Amino acid sequence: MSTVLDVQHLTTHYRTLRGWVRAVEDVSFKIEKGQALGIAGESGCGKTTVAMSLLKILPKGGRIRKGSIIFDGLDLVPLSNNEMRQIRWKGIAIVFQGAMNALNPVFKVGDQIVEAIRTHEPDVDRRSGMDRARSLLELVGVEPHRVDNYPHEFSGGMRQRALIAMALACNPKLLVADEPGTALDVIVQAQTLKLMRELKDRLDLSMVMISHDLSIIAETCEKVAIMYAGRIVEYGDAEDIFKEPLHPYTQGLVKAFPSIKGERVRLTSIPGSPPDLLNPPTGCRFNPRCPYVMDVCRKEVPPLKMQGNEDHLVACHLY
Amino acid sequence: MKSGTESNLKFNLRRFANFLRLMLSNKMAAVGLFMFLVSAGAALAAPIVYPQNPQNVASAGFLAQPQWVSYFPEGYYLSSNMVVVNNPGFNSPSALQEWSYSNTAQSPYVSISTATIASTGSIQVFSSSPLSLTVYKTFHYPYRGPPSRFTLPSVAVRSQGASASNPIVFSLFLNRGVERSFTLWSKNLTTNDAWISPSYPLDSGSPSLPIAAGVQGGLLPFTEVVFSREDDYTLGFTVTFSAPGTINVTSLGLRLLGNAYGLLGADSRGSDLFAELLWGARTSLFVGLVASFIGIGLGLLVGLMAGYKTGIVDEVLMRFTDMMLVLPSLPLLLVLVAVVGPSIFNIIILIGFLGWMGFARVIRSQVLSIKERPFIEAARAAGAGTRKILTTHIFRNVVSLTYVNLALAVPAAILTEAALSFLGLGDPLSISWGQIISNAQAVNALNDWWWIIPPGIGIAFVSLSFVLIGYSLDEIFNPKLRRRR
Amino acid sequence: MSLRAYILKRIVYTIVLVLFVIIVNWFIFQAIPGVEGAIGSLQGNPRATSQQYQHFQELYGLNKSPLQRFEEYFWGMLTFNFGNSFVTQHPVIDDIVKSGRLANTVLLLGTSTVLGIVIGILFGVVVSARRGSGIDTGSVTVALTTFSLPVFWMGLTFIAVFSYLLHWFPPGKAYPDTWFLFGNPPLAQFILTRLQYLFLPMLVLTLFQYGGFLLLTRATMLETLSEDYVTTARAKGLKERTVLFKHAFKNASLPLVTASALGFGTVLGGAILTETVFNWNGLGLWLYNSIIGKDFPVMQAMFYILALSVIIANFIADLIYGIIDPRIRYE
Repeated sequence: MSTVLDVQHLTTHYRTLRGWVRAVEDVSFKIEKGQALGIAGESGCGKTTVAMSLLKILPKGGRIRKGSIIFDGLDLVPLSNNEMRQIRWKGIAIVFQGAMNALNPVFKVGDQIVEAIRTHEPDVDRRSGMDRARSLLELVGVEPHRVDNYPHEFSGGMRQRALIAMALACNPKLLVADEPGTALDVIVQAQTLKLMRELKDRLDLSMVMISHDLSIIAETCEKVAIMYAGRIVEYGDAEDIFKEPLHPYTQGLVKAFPSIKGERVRLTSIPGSPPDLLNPPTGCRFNPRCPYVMDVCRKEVPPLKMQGNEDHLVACHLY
Repeated sequence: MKSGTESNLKFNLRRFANFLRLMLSNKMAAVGLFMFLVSAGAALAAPIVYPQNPQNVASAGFLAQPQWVSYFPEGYYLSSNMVVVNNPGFNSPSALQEWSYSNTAQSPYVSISTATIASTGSIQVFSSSPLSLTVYKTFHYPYRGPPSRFTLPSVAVRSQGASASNPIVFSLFLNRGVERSFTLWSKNLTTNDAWISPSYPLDSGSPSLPIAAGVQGGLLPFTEVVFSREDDYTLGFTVTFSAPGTINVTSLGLRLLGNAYGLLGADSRGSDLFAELLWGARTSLFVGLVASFIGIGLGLLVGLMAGYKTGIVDEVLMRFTDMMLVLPSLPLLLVLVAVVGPSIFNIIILIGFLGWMGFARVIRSQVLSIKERPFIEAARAAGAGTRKILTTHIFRNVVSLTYVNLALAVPAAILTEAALSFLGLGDPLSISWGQIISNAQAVNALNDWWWIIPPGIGIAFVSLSFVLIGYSLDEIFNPKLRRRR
Repeated sequence: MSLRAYILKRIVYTIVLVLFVIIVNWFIFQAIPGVEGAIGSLQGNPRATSQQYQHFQELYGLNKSPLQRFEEYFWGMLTFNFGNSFVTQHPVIDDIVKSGRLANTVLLLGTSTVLGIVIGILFGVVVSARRGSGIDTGSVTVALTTFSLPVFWMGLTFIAVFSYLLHWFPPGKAYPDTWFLFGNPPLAQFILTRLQYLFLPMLVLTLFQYGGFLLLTRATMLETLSEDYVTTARAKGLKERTVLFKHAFKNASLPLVTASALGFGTVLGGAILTETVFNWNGLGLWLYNSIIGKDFPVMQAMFYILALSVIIANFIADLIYGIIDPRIRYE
């Protein structure tokens, strides 16, 4: 197995009028070929910023301040925008939420797919590009003749599928899926996830899946990283983390989601709310909400260290 | 109940203070606000500083340049206004002190008289015997160039004891140094008890004046002939009695109108352009504010009505609005003003009544979009009165829109009024910036920058103040334009 | 709704607008003691004979009933038969077209509008991508300032500076008075001289227009740039230029199209002022002169034609909108 992506100490901040928002702090993870990593956490914990950082398409004011993103042996952080353009879509492609406005409303769906292909493979002519777009739509379960439709003629689920098809247009080495299926109804969401799983197996895709929904990640990913307030608090095999969550936050998170198959347990929510990332709490960022808070939690940042079996990392002073 | 209104007031005050702070934190808005305060100050100060309509007063010579130009090298020749006689009306005995007499022994014959014309006194010369007497005042003219114009307005004489056989000869003169004398007016007085004035104005622009002075066929303007250099000049009159008699002379006020004056000089009629500029601010702001209030008020009314009442009312109102939007406003205004007459109130009302359509559409779509929002649904489900919720929510959203559009409607109205005045369809009785520019163009004075430039800057200044305020209000209120904080 | 049905709907709406303008135009000029007044003053003139009076009454149709007059007026407007000018006695339509006034106005308005749109949009798009930078603040400030400057004053200062002071450009008119007295000038000279005469008024009208386009483009672009499909386009590895001008601008241009059509009436107002300042022999100057000279048939015809051009601009905008935005056809 070879490592597709190796992120080390990634730190991304947003510059605002009131100061730096520390959206992502010291995040490290690795993805092997054919493997899927799920990044889970509450909204606003920096999951999407991680995804945007990988492609370096951060919104205005966002900046990677530290760390490295080694993709396929190449560090992306120092690359210029022009060099980065070659990596985008061909190296790393991203699937946005289908319910959002991620498809341009004034261009035909087919044209938008062909545009992605022809940007990276300039010698493909329009006609064969269109043919590829048709087979891509077929691959994701949309009738091929729909290439001539505009996005508003698609249903939400079809739009999500078209986005997936577009992401696969250049055979990317890594697929980033940012909350796929979210805001669609449950059945369509389930179909979307099933499609993603199938594609992953069939095309041997490496994937980063971002979601606030643990059950989605549990079904799709081998590895899981739990993020809280910009930091990874727990990292490891999906099975380990869901069976035996170590970090108090992960424990809370797991309890907050119903399990379809499991026994009936009382769902609990984590009291309090995520911190203001302009002035995050010192020490462990979870300490104001933690039921097991100790003095040391308020002073020192807990390092992410191995716990229990190999590859299960947790950042907590309890261990 | 009382405490309720009180706390409400306090709340509103706090909201206003917050709003003000928000505006001042935006650089553009703060600049705009400052500019508005300056122009409003100018408009309020105008009638206090210049109580008289400046266009009716000749403050300086024709096309006088601003005073400060004379401090630049190219302004070396410019002259300023000069008042030669301090008390031309002879209102007190001390008025005699500035005058000298050719024959000092005769001075008792000269006195101040209470004989008045138009509430001024006069200087009286009495002689019991045939005598010639000169009363004069010598003054220094300090400028290299001539004045633009000099006048001796309303000089009048009255004789007693004169007859056809024994006339009293009166002669008014202005001398340069000792070698050159210009007679401005000479008269053989033969009738008594009536005030007599020259048949021509004692104004350097009058063609009769050089003839009386014996300067004929001169190519140069008379002021340049008289005040040809920096020198001592003498203003005075000679009276020759051939029999006992008395003569009263009044209003010997020689005024030299310079070709440099004030902050912004003068126009082709010698009116103070700075005063006109201040007065113009009044007209501009008045028209701009009132007309835009009318327009925005109408727009609010139509927009709310169309938004509230769906169906036929909405349809009719919006079709009508769309139709009105198609009519080109300036041509329509020109035609309508030509019909109803160019009074300032007509102009305000017409600008107001042609400026509501855009805002009505904005308000309507806002009301419609608020109606669609989920919280209205939720509130309705919770049993709250739809009307009350709509009113409070719409009010909150509409207020900010109204501020923005009001601020942007004012410059439009100001520019329209300026355009009308420039085209000669403004109110001729009120001074406006467009009219000042129009006057300048009418006499083809495009090179007289001190006349053309300031009113244009004035229009731009006032408009820009509102544009800046409106633009930054839009940035503050419109969440889509708001910057990440 | 297909595109064809959409266009059909707009055509019907346009016809309704034209009828509305014709009716409004009738009532405005009914309110003016125009023709009656002019002829009425003939009665006071001792030299005017009653035959003359009769003749004018017939000429302007005053002996007919209002309904008959409206009918004639109505068909006259539809067929561009506006009657004769009081001043020149020529048919108004000849004074519009054959005199070259229409061509002059189209030349001035066309060039300046195209320039204003191109400059405004270009700067607007570029500036929107650099929000908060020096060039952004600078462009916005300049645009807001030109927005606030009275257009006639801009014209006068330009004449003072570029004609009287520097002698670079003529101070007015569309071409020298001496032209066509002695046959046509050679083509090269014709074009160069006309460009020289065109430059200043065109500059003024361009400055008058570009600021609005810049600010509007910037505002709509800022809204569009925060949309998700722009992020998608960037993630696809497209060049920043393609992202801005293809993906973002095509969406941002929609409100721009509507707003510029509605603003066309204001542009006409600016053209009237510019033509007056520069003594440019076009429709705007002519309308102004006809108002000053109370030439009612000309006023009526001009008002109609200006309104008609705004209606046509709106119709074209609707068509463009329908072509750009696929969603509108399915409303």
